[in-house]
Amino acid sequence: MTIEFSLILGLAAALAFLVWEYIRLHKLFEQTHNTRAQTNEAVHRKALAILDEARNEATKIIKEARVGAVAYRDKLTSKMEAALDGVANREINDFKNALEAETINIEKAVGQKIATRYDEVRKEVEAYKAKQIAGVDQKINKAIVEITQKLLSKTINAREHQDLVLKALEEARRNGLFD
Amino acid sequence: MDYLTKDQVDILKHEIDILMNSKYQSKTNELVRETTLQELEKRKGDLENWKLEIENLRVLGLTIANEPTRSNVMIYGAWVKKNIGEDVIMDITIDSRIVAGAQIVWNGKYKDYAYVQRLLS
Repeated sequence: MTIEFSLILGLAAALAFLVWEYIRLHKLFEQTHNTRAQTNEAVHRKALAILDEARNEATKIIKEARVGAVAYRDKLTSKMEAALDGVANREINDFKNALEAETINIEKAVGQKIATRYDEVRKEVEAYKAKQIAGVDQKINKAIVEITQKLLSKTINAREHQDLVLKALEEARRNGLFD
Repeated sequence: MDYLTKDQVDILKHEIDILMNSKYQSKTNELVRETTLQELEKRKGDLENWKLEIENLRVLGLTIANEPTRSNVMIYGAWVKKNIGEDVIMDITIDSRIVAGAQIVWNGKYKDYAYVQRLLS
């Protein structure tokens, strides 16, 4: 009986130990479960917080990036505009300078041509004028001579004409014309 | 005797030619023709001599300012005959532009004694 009892007692003790152990484990399990749940919750919250923070940070970064991008874009645009303006201005200036140079050259060439033509025309006009004046002078001289001749011829009477012809003949004889 | 200028001598020469040639071409009345022919025959020698003399005459070119009167021509002619020769006739040209005096051409030589030259020079 003692053995049996001892066995029973041993079994009972083992059983009790088992129950106790079960209960302890169960408690431990629950505790662990709770802890895990809590941990999970905390982790979840933490994760959410991190996510929120990350999102906020990301939002902030994105916002900043957007602002920076806008600023950069503006800056780049300004730079590009400035550069384009510079290029355009340079091109325009080059074109303007070339145009001015070309215009000046053309003006010079045209001016020179006009000056040359003007000189030619002026010479032609001068020559024509001189010719006309010479012609008029010649006509005037001729007219003056003719008028003078007619007047003189009329003012000399017949006897004087005769004497002057005889004088001319005498002069020719003296000069040996009839020798 | 009147002094003849070259123009007059030329006319005379032309008339002599007509006279000398007409004896072969006359269409006048036969009696007139006969008479003329006889007269021409008599004077044939004279006509030929006159023509020869005319052709041998020497010519003095004389340009003067106004139209000479017959009296002027006679006086100029007398001077020419006396100072140059009996066989010289004058070829007178009128040019009022010379005013007075004369331009003379003799044997291809020219002399200007016109008063216009003296006035204009």
